[in-house]
Amino acid sequence: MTNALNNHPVPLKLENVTVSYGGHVAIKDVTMDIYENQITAFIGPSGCGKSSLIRCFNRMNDLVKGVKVEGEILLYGDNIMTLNPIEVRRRVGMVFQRPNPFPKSIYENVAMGLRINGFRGSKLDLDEAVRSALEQVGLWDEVKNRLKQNALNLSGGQQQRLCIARVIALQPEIMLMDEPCASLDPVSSLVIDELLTELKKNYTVVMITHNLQQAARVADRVAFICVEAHGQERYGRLLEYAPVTQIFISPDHQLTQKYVNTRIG
Amino acid sequence: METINRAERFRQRSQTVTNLVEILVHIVLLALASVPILITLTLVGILIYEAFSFFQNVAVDLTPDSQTVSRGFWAGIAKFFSDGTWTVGQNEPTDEGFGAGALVLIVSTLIVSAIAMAVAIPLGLLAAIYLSEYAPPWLRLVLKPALESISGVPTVVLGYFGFLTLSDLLKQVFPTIASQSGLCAGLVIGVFLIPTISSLAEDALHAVPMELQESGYALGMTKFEVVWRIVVQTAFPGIVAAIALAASRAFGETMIALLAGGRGGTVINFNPLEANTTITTFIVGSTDGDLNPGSFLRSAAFTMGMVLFIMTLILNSFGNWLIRRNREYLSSALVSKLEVVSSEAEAEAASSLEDLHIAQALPSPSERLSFAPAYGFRNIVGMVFHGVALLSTLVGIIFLGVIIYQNVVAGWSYLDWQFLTSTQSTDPKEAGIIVPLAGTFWITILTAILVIPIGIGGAIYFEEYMPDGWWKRLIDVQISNLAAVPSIIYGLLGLGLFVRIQQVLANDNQVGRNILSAALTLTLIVLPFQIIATRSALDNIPNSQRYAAYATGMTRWQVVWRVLLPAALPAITTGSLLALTTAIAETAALIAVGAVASIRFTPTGLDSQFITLPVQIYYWSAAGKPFEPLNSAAIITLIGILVIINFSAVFIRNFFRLKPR
Repeated sequence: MTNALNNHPVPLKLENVTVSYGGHVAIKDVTMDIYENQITAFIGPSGCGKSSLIRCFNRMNDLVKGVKVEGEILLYGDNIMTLNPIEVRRRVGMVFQRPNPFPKSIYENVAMGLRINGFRGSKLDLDEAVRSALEQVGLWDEVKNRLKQNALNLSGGQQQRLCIARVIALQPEIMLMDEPCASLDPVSSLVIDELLTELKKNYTVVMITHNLQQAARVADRVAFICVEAHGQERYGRLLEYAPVTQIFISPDHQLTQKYVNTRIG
Repeated sequence: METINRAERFRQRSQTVTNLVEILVHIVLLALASVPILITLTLVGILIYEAFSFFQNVAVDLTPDSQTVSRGFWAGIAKFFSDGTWTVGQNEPTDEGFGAGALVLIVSTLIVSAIAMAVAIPLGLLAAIYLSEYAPPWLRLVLKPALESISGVPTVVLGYFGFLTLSDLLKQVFPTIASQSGLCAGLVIGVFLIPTISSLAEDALHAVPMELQESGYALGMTKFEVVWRIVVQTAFPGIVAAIALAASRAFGETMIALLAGGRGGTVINFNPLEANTTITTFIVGSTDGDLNPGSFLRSAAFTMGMVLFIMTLILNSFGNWLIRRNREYLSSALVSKLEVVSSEAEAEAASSLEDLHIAQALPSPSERLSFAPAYGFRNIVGMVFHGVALLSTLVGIIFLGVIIYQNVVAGWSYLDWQFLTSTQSTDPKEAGIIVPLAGTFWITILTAILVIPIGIGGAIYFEEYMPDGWWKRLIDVQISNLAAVPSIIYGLLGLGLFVRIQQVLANDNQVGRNILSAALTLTLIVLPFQIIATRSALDNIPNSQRYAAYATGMTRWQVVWRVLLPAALPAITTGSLLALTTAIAETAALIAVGAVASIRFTPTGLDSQFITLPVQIYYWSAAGKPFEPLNSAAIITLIGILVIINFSAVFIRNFFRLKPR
């Protein structure tokens, strides 16, 4: 199994990545490969630096003052720090913890990213791209008659799927999801899970989740981040990174087993 | 046993006393809080009364035996809205060619305001965007107060600059322009309104949730694209509100319109290169004439006051409504919708779970979308915008810098002890400003004595005593409306109320235009600001303080007196000082109440005639070349006083902020 995975192309390669905020290390020395068309889930206690880490993947951390990222992150072999951040963010989409549609129409929410990034095509092509994105998240049938309505009128679950559609429309190479179901009810959250397993046929998904059942259900590989304390300093460390079955059934580390079992039971 | 009894007796007695105090305090506060409502009612009452008399007398017929016959109220209203000329104050309704068409003044007002808004909207909006989205923190710390200090400069100073300097510059561009013109007035008012728009718009931009901007960046937008397409568009209602509030100030601006725009023209005039009589310049100008009770000119001035009042009221109500609505809208956008779970909704959710059909395979790589590169044109647009926004922020600041520099150069050498202590004189070498200085001092102190207790008491009532409900919301709206009523209208109210009462009491129409009336009028102007400042100071005290105080068994007044007021004191002091600067800078209302151009004696009592520093600046503006350096010296003195008060306010605030509570 491990061998089969290793033959996968590696869209994202991390080499000794360390993230620090104003001198305080948030997460240290992460080295890992993220494989194509798989769902990679990051689990670990709150404050262990998961969000800080995946926000490096699309250089969102550039927008925060005092953040320093060391090490190398390679996107299909290119160091992302040498690429244009705007381009990185188009190629690496992101879905946030709370649904945050723009206070515009449903249609415009999806079309805007395309237009901004210089979508080349007619109005019809644009309509088609919007429809396709909404179909891929299973939202099309629910909203096709009210595309001009304000997106804020949608329910929380629909809003989150709209946010995913917004990202899909740009055909990203990787999709980052920071606890995409944290603010959703169980039914909406299940819909998203279902969607994720479908999406991975076409996309590479990296997600953070506190819901271990979700990780077990949808993820192919799981990365467990734990908090290490050295004197006053506390920072996150990648403790174990393995296929989902291994993490949940026979993890190498006792800490992983403890985390996975206490929470799931 | 005995001790317990004593304790009970003690408690009971003190409770009766505290209850009595409580009731008494409640009544006093209620009385103070009703002042703004009384002001509103009186204002509306006087305006309607005078307007009624105006409309009854404005349309007349002459019978063959030269007896005047009024054609009545409705004919008056028809004349008011249909006449194409306005000669009120120049001749009487019985004269040949008399015109009373409000459109003449309204069109001029709209033209001057439109020019002002054409300056203020782009510059103010770009400045707001620059300050809120682009400026590094240290630069913002410098630029924001510098820009906002424009709105603290007395408008008589700005108007004088327009009259003296800007009109000459305009003459080089438009050779046919009059020395006082609508264009010149509009431009200066526009600069004056930049900070109004920029600070309100900045609030609106700030209110846009960070999450929206993040999702914009995450889609690969450049900074400019996030700012322009997400932040500005989301904040759009708030920006429109800022524009509405600024426009209402443009309508009501008096001193700039008077000094830079002049007066003239009796027909509807669309040409901004000529002098334009706006509503405000007509009102303040007519106070030169016969404004005795019952005179036609007086009722005309009040009627135009009513027109102005209605225009500003509509714009303000609209702006405030929009701000309120937008705030609710944005906060609701951040809260997930509460989903009502019905069996139907559950079925729908379940079915969507089942037929979640995922789309056909994505297009193969060759058909993949192609994207415009993220550099090149998109970056250049962003950089150009950044530069334009920075320049827009600087325009107002440079304007202010030029005004201060020019006056310091012209007036510095005149600013000596002799100037500060001499009385007015026709000889520029001997003239000084002791009389207006003393007038400003008297009136400001008197205003402070009146406005501080009323304002603080009223604010305490609104904030701590008044039960919530539609009544409270109405008063909320009304106070912000009062704060936006043009000061010239308060000048009319002072004339129609305070001056009039004294005239009736003394049975003499020559009295009443004195220090007392001036201070009472300024009290009307400052009161809304005092109330708003005090309320926000009380509002900023965390509720936990109130709970803690009540939990120790304090009555409501004890909570206010012992806990809330001490905690709010620094903010209230700062707010009061800033509110008083409004009084010190006020010009138009005092001209309307009856400031006297040349008095040689410092005030001796409440019934003395008066002049203040800004009014003196206004009179000297028209006094000719020899008085120009004197006027500059007076301007430096006035601005110096305002700067000192502002700095003390800021100092007090910072001093108490550093102290641990």
